[in-house]
Amino acid sequence: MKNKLIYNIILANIFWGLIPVIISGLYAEISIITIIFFRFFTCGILFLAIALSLILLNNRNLEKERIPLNIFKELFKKNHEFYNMKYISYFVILGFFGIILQIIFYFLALKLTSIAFVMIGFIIANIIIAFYEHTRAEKLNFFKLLYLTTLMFSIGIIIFVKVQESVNISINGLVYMLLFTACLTFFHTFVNRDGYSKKEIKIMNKNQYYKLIRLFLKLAIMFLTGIGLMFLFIFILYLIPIQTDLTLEIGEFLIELSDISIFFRPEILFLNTLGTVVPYTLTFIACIYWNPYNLTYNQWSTILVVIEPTTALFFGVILINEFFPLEFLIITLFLLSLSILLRYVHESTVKVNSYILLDQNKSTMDKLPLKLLKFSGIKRIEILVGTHDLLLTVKMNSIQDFYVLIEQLKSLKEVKTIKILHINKINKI
Amino acid sequence: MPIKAIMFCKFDVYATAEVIEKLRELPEIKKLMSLTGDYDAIAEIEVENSEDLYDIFTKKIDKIEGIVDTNTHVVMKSWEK
Repeated sequence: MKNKLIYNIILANIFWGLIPVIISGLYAEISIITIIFFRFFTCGILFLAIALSLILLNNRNLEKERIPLNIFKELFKKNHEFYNMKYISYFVILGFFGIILQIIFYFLALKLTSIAFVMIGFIIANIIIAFYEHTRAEKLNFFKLLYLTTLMFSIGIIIFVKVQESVNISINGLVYMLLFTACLTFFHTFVNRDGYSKKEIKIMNKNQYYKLIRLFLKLAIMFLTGIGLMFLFIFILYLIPIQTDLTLEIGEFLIELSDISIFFRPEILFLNTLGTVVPYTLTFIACIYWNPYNLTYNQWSTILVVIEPTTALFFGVILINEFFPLEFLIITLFLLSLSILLRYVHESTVKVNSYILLDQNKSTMDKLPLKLLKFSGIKRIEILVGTHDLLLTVKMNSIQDFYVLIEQLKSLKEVKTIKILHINKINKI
Repeated sequence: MPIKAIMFCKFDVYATAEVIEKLRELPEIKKLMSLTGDYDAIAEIEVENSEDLYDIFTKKIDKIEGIVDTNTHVVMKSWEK
């Protein structure tokens, strides 16, 4: 495999797949809210420290383009890819609903049911996102339908096995699993709606380091603001005079909060290091240094996301003896692995890689390139000397998305002519 | 200061595979893609200076049989996200 950074994504998903197994022994002793607090608060502080350290280190190196600290002001600009909300609001919403609440319901579902049962939630989230992509633009072709069918079969087998286990599935557990699925779907749908401001694009093009710093900063803000909102959330819940699993967990959390020794438990240390810092760092590095020969980083992330539930199921059975008959385990793991291959084939067949040559009208030379970079799918813009003015490198997930882009370009008053060149084959890269 | 140039090529329809192979061998050509459209291929060329750019065209590309036409642009600036 030419693109070795794919292994970063695979390894990250394997580490995340280990989490349910590692924390399975903690539920009886520590509140779920405590686990979440120690994980995300600590890692949020750490990622913020890493981001600030990288900025200081970069600025000390005179050969690199300086990153000004007032770049943080960009967080208060509007994110055009997320309903024109400010970037900071986008991070807060994503941090609380997409991460903290997701993990609360995830851990609650794991505690009340089983690893295999909760993995259904992961698979359902993938199915929902696939249908959502279909309604937006992407065609539901043969391979995608086969991919979805494979996932549904694997859900069917897991449900069959759990019914055979003759253990009553807790209704609360089912509800938490569905809420986890909803939050996970929300996270995956909106996590990449993160455009860059003009100032950020200018800095990024002079200093590629900035993109890495931005990723750490984004995650730090999501974690820390998510934890902040979590306190508000549990405060409101605690006031409601209804006893739920969550209120019990909150009660224990309030007692455990002052016990720092919990932080040094091996499971918590694993969760913070190999469960959070390492996998996120691996994926950030992959994202920054990605050199897509064929598919983009986001496409590969979508293809390989099934690795997490697959490994969780496998480790759950092998390491903590979760009930799952061997023959059904083999079939389920086979189906989930097959789904990865089918998704890869689908992504490879529907993607559109093209160059677009633009001629622009007079007096638009300085503004047009930055305007164009805001459009989804335009990865690079080269300003040329010759018969044409601009060369755009375009990667789209479907031909429908590509048509939308062409219409957007045609509507720009700065654009005089458009010439489309589709890439047939990559001969050298 | 390094120079980056984008060369659009048209080939003789019967010689496409041979031309692609010969272009691939040139170390100055960093990327080479076959296209559908007005041109048959796009090559990204990176050289140290304009003298090297002149050399690659006159001593190497111009000698390749099967290239019908080229349209070359020098890249002034790149923006990426």
